[in-house]
This record gives sequence, structure tokens and C-alpha cells, in this order.
Amino acid sequence: MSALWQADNLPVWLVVWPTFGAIVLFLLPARWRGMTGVSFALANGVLALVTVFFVMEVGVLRQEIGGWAPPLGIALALDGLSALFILMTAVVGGVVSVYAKIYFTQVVVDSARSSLFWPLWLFLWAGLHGLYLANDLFNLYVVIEVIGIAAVALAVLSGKTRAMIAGLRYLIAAVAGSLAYLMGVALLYGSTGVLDIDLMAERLEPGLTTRVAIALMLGGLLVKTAVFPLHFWLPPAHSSAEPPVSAILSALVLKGTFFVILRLWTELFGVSLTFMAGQMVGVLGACAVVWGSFQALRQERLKLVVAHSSVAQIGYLFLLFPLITVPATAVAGGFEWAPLAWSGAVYQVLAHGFAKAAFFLAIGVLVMATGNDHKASMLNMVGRLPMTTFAIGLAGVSLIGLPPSGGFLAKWMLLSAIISSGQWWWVPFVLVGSLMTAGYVFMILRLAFAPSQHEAELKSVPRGLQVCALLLAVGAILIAFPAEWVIDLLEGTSTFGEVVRAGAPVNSGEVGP
Amino acid sequence: MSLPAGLLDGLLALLLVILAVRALIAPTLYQCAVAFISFGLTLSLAWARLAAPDVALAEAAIGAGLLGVLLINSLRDFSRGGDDASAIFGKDLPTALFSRTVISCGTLAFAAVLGMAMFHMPEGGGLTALTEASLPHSGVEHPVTAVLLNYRSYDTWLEIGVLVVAMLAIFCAGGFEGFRRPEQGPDSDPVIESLARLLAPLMVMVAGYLLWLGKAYPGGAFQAGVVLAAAGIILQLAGWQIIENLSTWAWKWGLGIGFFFFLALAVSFMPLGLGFFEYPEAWAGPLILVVEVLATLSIGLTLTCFFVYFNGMGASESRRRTR
Repeated sequence: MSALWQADNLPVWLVVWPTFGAIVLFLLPARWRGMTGVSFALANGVLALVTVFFVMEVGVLRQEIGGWAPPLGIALALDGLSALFILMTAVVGGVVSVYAKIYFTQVVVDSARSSLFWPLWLFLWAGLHGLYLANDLFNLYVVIEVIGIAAVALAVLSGKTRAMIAGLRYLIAAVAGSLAYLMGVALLYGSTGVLDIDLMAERLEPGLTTRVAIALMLGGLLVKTAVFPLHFWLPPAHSSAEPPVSAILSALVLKGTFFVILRLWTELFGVSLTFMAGQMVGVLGACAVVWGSFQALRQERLKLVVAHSSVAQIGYLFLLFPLITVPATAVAGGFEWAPLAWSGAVYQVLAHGFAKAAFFLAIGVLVMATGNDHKASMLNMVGRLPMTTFAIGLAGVSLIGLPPSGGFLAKWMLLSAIISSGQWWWVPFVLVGSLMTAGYVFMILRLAFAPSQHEAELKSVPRGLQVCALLLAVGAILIAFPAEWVIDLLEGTSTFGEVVRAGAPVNSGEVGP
Repeated sequence: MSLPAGLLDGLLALLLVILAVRALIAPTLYQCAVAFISFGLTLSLAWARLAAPDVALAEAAIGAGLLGVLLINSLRDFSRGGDDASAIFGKDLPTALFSRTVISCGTLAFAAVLGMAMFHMPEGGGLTALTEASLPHSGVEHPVTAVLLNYRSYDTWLEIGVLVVAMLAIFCAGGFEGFRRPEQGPDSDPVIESLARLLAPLMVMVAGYLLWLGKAYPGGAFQAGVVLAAAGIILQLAGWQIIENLSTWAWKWGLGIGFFFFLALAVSFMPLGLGFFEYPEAWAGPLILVVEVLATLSIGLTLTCFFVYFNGMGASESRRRTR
């Protein structure tokens, strides 16, 4: 039993607070939404800090909802991994909120329309919190729907025809993905009679049904994470949205479904996975790295460069799965690379979250100043918009993986894990990916230093917007420093640093009553 | 199973496949929509045969009824450019033939794999026994209502939230928040008007009955909300313009109240030491009823608003086109 103010109600407040914010913002008239929205976002940040400190002190927290224990009721689970994702969402989301407040009040003319951003963004935020806390397969489906619909709505906020077409594609991909996931959940529920992830991990048997269910769920989630070759919807949707929305979609929304895949892969799917399944997911990731970078190199418009770069950077995340999936015959112990692979992938989430959000916000500034996002508009920017150019440079450094940056740490840890695991065949993909990333980043920066013949007058851009972009870019560098602290926090995750033994029942550790 | 029942089930299954295929490959969009509506109705019969009357009601009301209305309504705006649906598979004959073959083979293979997976499914047991056993403590007598509004109320609350998000998404896509009155007054059709006068009160009554029934029998907020929306749409078609005449505050609160009250209720017993979404056992029944009434109102209003908004959007779009 728990009173209102007790700390073990923390998971509840993480869901209730942003949802309350969303409904309040919906009821408010358009002109009050900006300020109120930023206040709710900042309060979310405080809540996230409390969450992180709580998890560092107390560890994993499970909470049953409605007084009903699973399997009848739903439980929420808060651990190190969820706390870290909540913190990233709060920091990136907080800065993006401030940017959005300035952007939508000073730059966009149609404030009645653009104020819809606020209730939708808070709903999306609530959905992300719900996702990080979910411990029930059907509850996951519901929060994925909340996130999906809110994300599509935000993508078409600008109302431009291009955004509408991209948004429709995004919607179809998102709905197809969730339906595939739901179909898999139905098969698993039929086989085990429970929906709670811990309980299901105890009961799930290997077999054809389980294998088909896992394929369906994984396929659906891969579509929503835009993994090659299912990424077709991402570049148009992310590149045609308003800058704060692009930042949210690529920095946070994609990471949500990655979080789900990581959680299910390590806590539930192990029983019916094979070594080859891990390798296949890895191949998709590796192809994404090369293909996404290649496409980014070819683009003429900056927003499309950055959107294709997301496909590539997401690809790195999926190199984790072959590394932590070992054959059932592997000798016990000695998987010392697994914690490294885990930390590397999680760092890649953080680094890409910060760097890509900064990149999109900076390009938003550029578009405001020059009126378009063609590469040529970068000409001589270093003299004219120094702060924004600096932000793009720092974000680029992290994306390439140059030291000292979050991206460097992520790629370094992944590379070390790859080498010590003996799966050397992933090495060229990581290196080539970094080289190609350097290619498109330096192509942009080279233009920024090049003098231009006939300079058009720049429109003035509110300084706050440039500061927001720079803050996130600096964040992408600074996150490299508290690495030990981050790994400490991650240790509070039941499956952190463990490998999945293909075909062996998952040892899910302690399970609730 | 008796022979006639077996025949009926076989016929239903066959009809479902035929209608589903038809909905995909009919030559015009209009025929696709009609096939889809018939598919929804047949599917609801199938659910009824599977002894899942709650799902059957929801499928008939939402899958066939409401989606049908929205589809046909949208088609009216589409059909200015012709509603030829054959181009979906490619413009020239070889491409169309090729893509049709690929899609059919893919679908068949997928169906085969899925069928095998279901055939090999181990007996999981499900939660029926546990649901029934806990029923006395849930405040209601119908197991489906107990699952939706007590055991898994967190999910149901989020689902009601999805409706609010969907309304916001529609505002985003349409480009304005609120409901526009069509410029010229509605065409008054005496037949529709008198039909609406007859049907609307009846439907409101049916909605109320379904809602009350949900406590002990199949029915409940979602089904009642859809029937309420049907009444709203009929009144709209008869030219009543109820939504457009509401003040902004009224429709906003109307859309949000189901979700908001559910949330307020979920946290209001926490100071007493109960958990999130946990109600005192003695109050569970009445509280669930209040939640259901407000949810029904919100769901009915939201679904009516979908229709009204699309109509207003179509009107403003055609205005833009004629200018």
C-alpha cells in the first residue's frame, strides 16, 4: 500500500504528470499553450532527475496498478535502463521545448495551428514514459499506439503538401508495424496465457508458434525503428516536419521502439532465438550504416542529409544484437565484451539523441535565416551565423565519432566489443560508416568556410534558438565524461551486460509475487 | 457441432475471405468501401459465432458502421478525380499482373505460416478462470467489463487517450482547431429530417441501455459511445449542426472529460493508501458506472466530431478549389 507522496509511486507520476499536462494544454486556448507547455516540460525534467537519483539509491522498482497483481493486472517496472532513457528524454525534450516555444511564437505565423504542438508533444512524452516503464506486452502495444499517432500528427503539423504525403506514408508504416506486433502478442498470449513480460519469460516454450510470434513482433518494431530496408518512410517524414518536431522524431521516438526491442530481446525472446537471428539483425544494422550514409552523401538538401544520417546511426544500434546473442553451446562465462557492447549501444542512443536533435535545430535556424535548406545556403556561414555553424560542427564531431564526444565513446566501445567477441566481420562496417559520416559532415562544414560571391541578406533569427541548438550540441560532447556514472546506472538493469544464450530459457532473475 | 451450424460457420469463413479479397481488388474505390463494410458486418457475425458478443458489437459498430460512414464520406471528396482503384497495382497490364501475383503469393505464404503457428500453439490456458474468480471483488458482474474497467483500467484509460490524440491529429492534418460551419445552410431533406427525429432519440436510448447493460452483460462504454455517435451523425446529416453551435469550451471539455475524469479517479484514492487505479471495493461498482457514462459521452462526441470535422474540411477545400 502506498501513499500519494511515497517514492514508490514514482512510476505512476512519470505517466500521470505529462498526461495531465497534455490534457490541460488541450483545454487551454492557443495563446497560453507555449508558456504552460514549457513549464510542464521543465517539471518533467525535475521528475526525471528524481527518478534517476531514486534508481541509483534503491534500484529496480516494480509497481502493480489497480491493486491487481499480474497476470490479471498490469505492472510497471523502473530500472537503470528506463531511468537513463527517461533522463535523455527530459534533457533533449526540455531543450527542444524551449526552442519550440520561441519558434512557434516568433517564427511561425499561424499560431492557432502550431499551438497544437503542445498537447501532442506532451501526449508523446507521456507515451514514451509509459513505454520505458511498461512490463506488459499489451500495455506496450497501447503506448506504442499513443506514440505513433502523436508522432504522425506532429509530423504533419506544418501542413505543407510534402509533409502530408510523408505523414500518410509514416502513418501506414506505423500502423502496419503495430499490427504486426499485436499479432505476435496474440500468438504469445495464446501460448502462455499471460501478458506480463516476467511471467511470460518463465512460461514461454520454444516452438514454431513462438518463432513466428517473435518474427512478427520484431518485424513490426523494426519497421517503426526504421531499420534498413524498412526505413523508406523515415527520410521524407523527418525532413519535411518543423525543426523541433524533426528533432523529437529522430532523437526520441526512434529510440522508443529500440528500447522495446532491446528489452524483449534480452528478457523474453532468448528462448527461441538462434545465433543466426542475432547475425541477421546485425546484417540489417550493418547495411543500414552503409546505405544510410551513402544516401546522406548524395543528398542536396541539408534536412535530407540529416534524415538519411539517422538511418545510418540507428543501424549502429543493431550491431548490439549479434554481439550479445551466443550459441547455446558456447562455454559458460567469459563474455567480457557483453557489458561493453551494451554500454556502447546505449551510448550510441544518447549520443545520437543529442547530436541529431542539435543538428535538426541548427538547420531550422539556417532555414529561417536563408529561407531554404539547400547545401549552397551554408556558404560562408561561419562568419555570418557562427554559433549555429559551431553547433553543426560539434554535432557532426559526435556523429562521426571523433574524440572526445559521446559518439566516439559509443563507437569505441562497440568496436572493442566486436573485436573481443571475435565477430570481426562487423569491423569494416563501423569504420566505413564513420568515414562516410565524416564525408557528409565535412562537406557541409567546408561550405560554411567557403566565401560566397553574392551574399543574400540574412533574416534575423531569435538568439534563443541558436543557443538551444548549441546547448544540445555541447551536450553531445559532454556526455562522454560521466561515462562511469552512466554505466553504474545501467548496472541497475537486470539483464545489463548479459548475453542471450540462443535457445536457452531466459533466467529472468527475481520475479514478483 | 451440428451440421447446420458447421455449414453456417464454413459459409461465414468463405464469405470473409471473398469480401476481404474484394475489398482489396474491386475496380472502384466505392466498391472497395462497400466490400469493406460488408466484411465488417460478416466479421461481427463471426465473432458472435465464436461466443464473443462484446467484440461482435464493437466490430459491427466501429468496423462496419462508423468506418463505413467515414470512408463513404471521404470518397465523396475523392471521387472528383475519379475513383478508379485499379491503378493501385500499377498502370500497365504486365506490371499490374506481376504485382498482383507477388502480393497474392506473399499473402498466401503469410497466411500459411500464420495458420501453422496457430495450429501448433500450445494450450496457454488464458486468464478466464482467474478473471471469474476475482469477479466478486471487481464491482461488476460481466467479466469483459471487469477486465476493461478494473483489472486493466490503465490500458483502457490510455485507449480513451488515443481517441483524444486522434482528434488532435485530425486537427493537425486539417489545419485548424475547431469546427467550421459550412457556408451555405444545409439542404433540408424532409425525409432525412423526419427520420432523424424518429431515430435519434431511439438511438440515445439504445446507447443508454447498452451502457447500463455493460455492468452484467455484453455492452459498455465503447459500444454505447458508437451508438451515440451514430445518433450524432444522423442529426448532423439532417442539418442540425450541433457541434458547430457548441462553444469551444463545451466541445473541448466534452472531448476530454472521459479521459480526464478517469485520470482524476485513478489518483484520487492514492492519498488513502490505495494504488494507482485502485478503488475501494465497496465503491468500485458505482465509480465504474460514472467512468463509463463520461467515457461514453466523450467517445460519442469524439466520433461525431471526426465526421463533422471531415465535412467542414471538405466544404472549405471545395471552396478553395472554386476560388
